[in-house]
Amino acid sequence: MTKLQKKTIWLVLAIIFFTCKEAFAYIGPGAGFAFISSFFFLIATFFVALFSLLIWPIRFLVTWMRRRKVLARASAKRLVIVGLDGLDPDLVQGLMDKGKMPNFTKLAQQGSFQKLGTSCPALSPVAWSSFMTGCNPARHNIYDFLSRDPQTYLPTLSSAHIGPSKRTLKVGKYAIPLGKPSIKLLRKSKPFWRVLGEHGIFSTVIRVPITFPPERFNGLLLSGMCVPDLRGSQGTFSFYSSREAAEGETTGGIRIAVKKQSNVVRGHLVGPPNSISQRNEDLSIPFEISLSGEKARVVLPDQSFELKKGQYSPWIRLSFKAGLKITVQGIARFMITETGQEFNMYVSPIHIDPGKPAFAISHPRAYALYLSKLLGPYATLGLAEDTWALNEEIINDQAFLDQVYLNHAEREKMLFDALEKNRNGLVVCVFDTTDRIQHMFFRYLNPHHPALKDKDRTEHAGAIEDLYRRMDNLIGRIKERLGDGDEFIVMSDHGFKDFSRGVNINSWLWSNGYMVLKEGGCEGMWLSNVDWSRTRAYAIGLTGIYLNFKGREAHGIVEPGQEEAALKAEIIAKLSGLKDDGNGSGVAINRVWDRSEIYRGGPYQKNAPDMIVGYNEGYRASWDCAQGRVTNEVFEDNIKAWSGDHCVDPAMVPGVLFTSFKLNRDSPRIIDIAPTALALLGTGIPAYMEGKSLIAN
Amino acid sequence: MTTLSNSIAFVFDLFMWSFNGLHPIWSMTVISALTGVLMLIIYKYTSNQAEIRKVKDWIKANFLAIILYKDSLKVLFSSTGHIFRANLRYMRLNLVPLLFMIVPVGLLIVQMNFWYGYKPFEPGESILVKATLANVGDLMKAEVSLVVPEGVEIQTPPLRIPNNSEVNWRLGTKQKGHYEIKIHVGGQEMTKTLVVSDRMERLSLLRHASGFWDGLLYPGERVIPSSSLVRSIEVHYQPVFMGVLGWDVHWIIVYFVLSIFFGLALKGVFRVHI
Amino acid sequence: MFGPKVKLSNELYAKLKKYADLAGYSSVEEFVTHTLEKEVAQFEQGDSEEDIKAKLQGLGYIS
Repeated sequence: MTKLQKKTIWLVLAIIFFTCKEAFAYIGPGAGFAFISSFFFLIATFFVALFSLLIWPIRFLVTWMRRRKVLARASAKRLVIVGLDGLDPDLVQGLMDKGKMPNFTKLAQQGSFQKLGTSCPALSPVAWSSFMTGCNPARHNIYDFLSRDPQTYLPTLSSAHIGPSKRTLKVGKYAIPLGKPSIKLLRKSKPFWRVLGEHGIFSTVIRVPITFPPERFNGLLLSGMCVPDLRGSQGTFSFYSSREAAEGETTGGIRIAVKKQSNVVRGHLVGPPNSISQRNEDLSIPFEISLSGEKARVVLPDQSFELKKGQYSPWIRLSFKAGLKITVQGIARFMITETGQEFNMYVSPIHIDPGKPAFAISHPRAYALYLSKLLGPYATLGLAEDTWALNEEIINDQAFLDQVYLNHAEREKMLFDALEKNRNGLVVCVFDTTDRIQHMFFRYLNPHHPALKDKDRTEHAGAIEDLYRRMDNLIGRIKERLGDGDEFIVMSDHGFKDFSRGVNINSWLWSNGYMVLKEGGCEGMWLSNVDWSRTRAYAIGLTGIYLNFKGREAHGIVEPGQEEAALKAEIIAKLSGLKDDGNGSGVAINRVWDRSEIYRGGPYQKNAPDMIVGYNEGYRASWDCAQGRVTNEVFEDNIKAWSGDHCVDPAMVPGVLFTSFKLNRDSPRIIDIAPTALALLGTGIPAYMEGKSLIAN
Repeated sequence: MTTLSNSIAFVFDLFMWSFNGLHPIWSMTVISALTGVLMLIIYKYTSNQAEIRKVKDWIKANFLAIILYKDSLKVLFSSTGHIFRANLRYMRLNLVPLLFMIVPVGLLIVQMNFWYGYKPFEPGESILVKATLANVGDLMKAEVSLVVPEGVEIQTPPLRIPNNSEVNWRLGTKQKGHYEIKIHVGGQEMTKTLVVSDRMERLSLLRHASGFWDGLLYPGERVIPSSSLVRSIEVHYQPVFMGVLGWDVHWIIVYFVLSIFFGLALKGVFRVHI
Repeated sequence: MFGPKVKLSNELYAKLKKYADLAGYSSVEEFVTHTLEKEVAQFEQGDSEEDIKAKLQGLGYIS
């Protein structure tokens, strides 16, 4: 059929449709479905468009009134900031020198390329909080991933507190929450996009860490790092295996035993805890999988889909029924990892469905929904890349890379959409890809890394270089979309270093008499066996040491004043320059800071750990230390795939700063970015910001 | 086609008989619900569900874009354009299921029209009967007469309209009943049913000679043989409106609204994207 | 932004503004909120150990 014939047929059908009134009646509900939906869209569009058009002049006038002063001062019409979490300046420079980063090189030549001083400690939540507020941690209150509750000595997430709904209605076996869960942002101060908003400048902010829960401002924001999964955790995968003794918890996930009979596997998909049931039970969805060679058909109650061994499914929408007609909606990816005699299947953490979020993950709430309609379901979990599944060897290197790049592709689309639509203000987007792949593949840069012992060192040896080159390509594609009046910043929050050896500060404190254990010794997580009535210091988080302070901690014994100062000085002196006897007496800790040295002039200084540890390259807090376990050994090899890190002396891991404009000085710091952005877009720099603008007046 | 139509009529009569004596809205509601479900199933399997979902998501995304980027005229115009274009695509995607639905719904609507569209005559009411004849030469001179049973009376002599080959009579009804009137033309006799009643009944408006559309649309009576001098006999029953919440509404509107309501209400149950 | 409002005297507000700036707060609201939260914190209970473990699960750096 020719195109003309086809067109003619459509035309005739359309004429019949619209001219014959009986047709309307005779086609009944079939046409009704189409017409009603269609007319609804058209009428709604018409009214929204008309309304927008009518109020546009008023909005324009109001915005212009607010912006006219800043417009006169602004040197950029639009500022685009792309964050590549953890991009390391030495690695970039090395590849630039080899001519492998043409787009970064071009950007450096056009504007500038410098190392960017990071926060202390050099952790993403701390650094990105400093980026957005232009302040040191004493003013934004984020000192680590973890904080601690001085009453219980238990760690808490530093950035947000998620509590249950305050009131519940009990009906039989159900406790129905009345109202939303209470979610509180613990990061303080004010992000610079809020300052821009106050001056009428619109921003689109995508996945910047520590933006959950989202704050109201003049713009759009999709929350990033620390958005929980549907279980309320930072990411819990599930692993279904036909092998015996598979059942139980594993770090970062749950293992579930399933029965494989001939070629059929049956089981239950584990979901979030049933928040309305008074019994402590998880929601679940039954599944049946029919295997045929390396292919499988997964049947869930309301859908079915094909899987191929070693390949991820697209995002699958999962509806967990909690009872009383309440459903909880999430999305997950499936991957079958073994199909022979035994059956293994990995299911990603269940992300909050952006199409039906259980709570706000964007500002306004409709932005997350808009993106899901535009792109389909996308990763919403803060730390969306499942590092623990690779650490625990549930998935392999390739599967991890595939997962990361799938998420990355979604993020790119979000950024390009923002670049297309927001042409007059601020666009910020942070990519986690760089951080996650470096964490998990840094071992390939160190041929002696303990995690590579007896492992293939070649297959993914080029993963990091490939990552950097992909990022260079991304920068090139972004630059193509920029126009006159646009300024461009590419930055990272910190660099990267090898992590081969772990240091357990709590074990050191115990062996040096600063910590006392109850009978039973080294047992349990989260310092559960510590005798607090006789302990003077303890470590929680990745770099912090706290004193057991009288009047602050529940069972504090260290007196403020002289005793406090002497104890701190003693610990700092002993730990600074600490040598690792198991590794040729290399220095494991460069130095330890008293908080009063580094955090000054901020209202939240008192929430800081009393001391901050600056590890040497190659070291970090050990896995046991991070989990609050006190062990006999202070040092241990890191044999996990998580082999690169940045929780070291901040001087060793600066980030990168590429700008499309010249800087007014050397040694920029991450707290200088917010004032620079404000200066470029013409607003004044508020007094609370400690950073200084990097543009020449 | 007539046989098919007649079989449907038979099933439909049985169905309607079970609602005997009830307000028509009850049977209408049940038919609408059943149609809604049937249409959903047809829609699900004859439409491109994935594409429909995609187009609708695209429309919604652009709709939200207008609201989210409310200060941008560029977004307003481009998104509005996208929505209009996507709507055309959406309608085009609906054409295929529509073609599949036209047949069953059309047949059903024909049947419903005989029940809901007209009311039987009431005793004492005047009736217009129209016979269309084949070529009988000079119509004014042709031998045409009407014989009516007891309970019906002929009120006027035949009115002949040669240009249309048409003969009309006005009849009067005296009492309730199912009647058969007979038309004599050139020695041939042809009958037509006539219902005088105060209840809802299936009515046959037209008895016709064979023909695809007539067979489809008027299946109530036996087809007039092609050799007959009578081409069709038509009885003008009065159209009736359905009383819904104090409003008089044409039945097709009620059916349209109710079936769409059920279709939309049940689309989640049948997992259909409309 | 649309939450409950508390009335303060102009005099107190002026003082709060001055000290908020000096202390490094980004706004008077932040200063007032922080001050009040500190007071309220002593009456509030923390999460259970189980809750805490569940919430931290999957945090790549830790567990």
